[in-house]
Amino acid sequence: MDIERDLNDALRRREAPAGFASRVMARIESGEADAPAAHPERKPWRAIAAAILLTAVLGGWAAHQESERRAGERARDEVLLALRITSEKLHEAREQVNEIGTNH
Amino acid sequence: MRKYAFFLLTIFLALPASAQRINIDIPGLAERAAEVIDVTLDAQMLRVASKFFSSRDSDRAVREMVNGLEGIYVRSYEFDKVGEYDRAIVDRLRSQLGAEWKKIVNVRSRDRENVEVFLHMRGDAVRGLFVISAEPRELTIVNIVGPIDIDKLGSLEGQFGIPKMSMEKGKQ
Repeated sequence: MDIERDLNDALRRREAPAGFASRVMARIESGEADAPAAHPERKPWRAIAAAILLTAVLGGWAAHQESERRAGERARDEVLLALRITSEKLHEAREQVNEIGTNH
Repeated sequence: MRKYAFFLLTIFLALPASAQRINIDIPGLAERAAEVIDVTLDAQMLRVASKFFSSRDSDRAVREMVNGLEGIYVRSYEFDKVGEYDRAIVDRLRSQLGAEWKKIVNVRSRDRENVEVFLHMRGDAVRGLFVISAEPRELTIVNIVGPIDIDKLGSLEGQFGIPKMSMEKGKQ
């Protein structure tokens, strides 16, 4: 490896391609070279709207989850109430049957 | 043709469930009662409820029982005075029961409650439970639609406020 030779090769003067200067001049004259780079315009309201939308969606989802949880817990309590009443009535019926059976 | 067969199958499957469902709504009775308990849980609500039972043994037993059911309907009315409801209501409720409903308990008492317990039988399987408990100042009606395991119901005794029956199975 010869570093000196490699550097010489890399830094050696090279001729521009044919017509390069005229192409550059043509672009300058047409004004194309002055055109600003296409940077997106900063629009803060978009970020605000996205944040509001995200908050609304997350809030709605959380409210829906909470409402489902409440409905489920209420249904669970009603199941237990229904089973308790059913069991009580069966229990009372059974007690009366046993009582009648004992008396006879 | 397939759609037609599917339609018929749907009706065929729906009919038995509707046969176990009894109309227990009595117009005007709730207004006269001092206290009303109204539980209406269809299959969808039962599925929702079953998700809210934990994996503890007692909760699991309820969840397993509830999962197979198609509906639980309870109406309980407590009145301030004796004779505030028409005893003919009980006859009207009973008249809805078809031949598949078997009366397994019938307790009649002059001073205490009259209790009738019916099971909807399909073969040896219990597919529905109907209880009418008529006291002078209280009327309670229970309709459970779907396969009920009486043993599982019994296994809940002493839990969730369900009274301990302390009785031998099959002894009446």
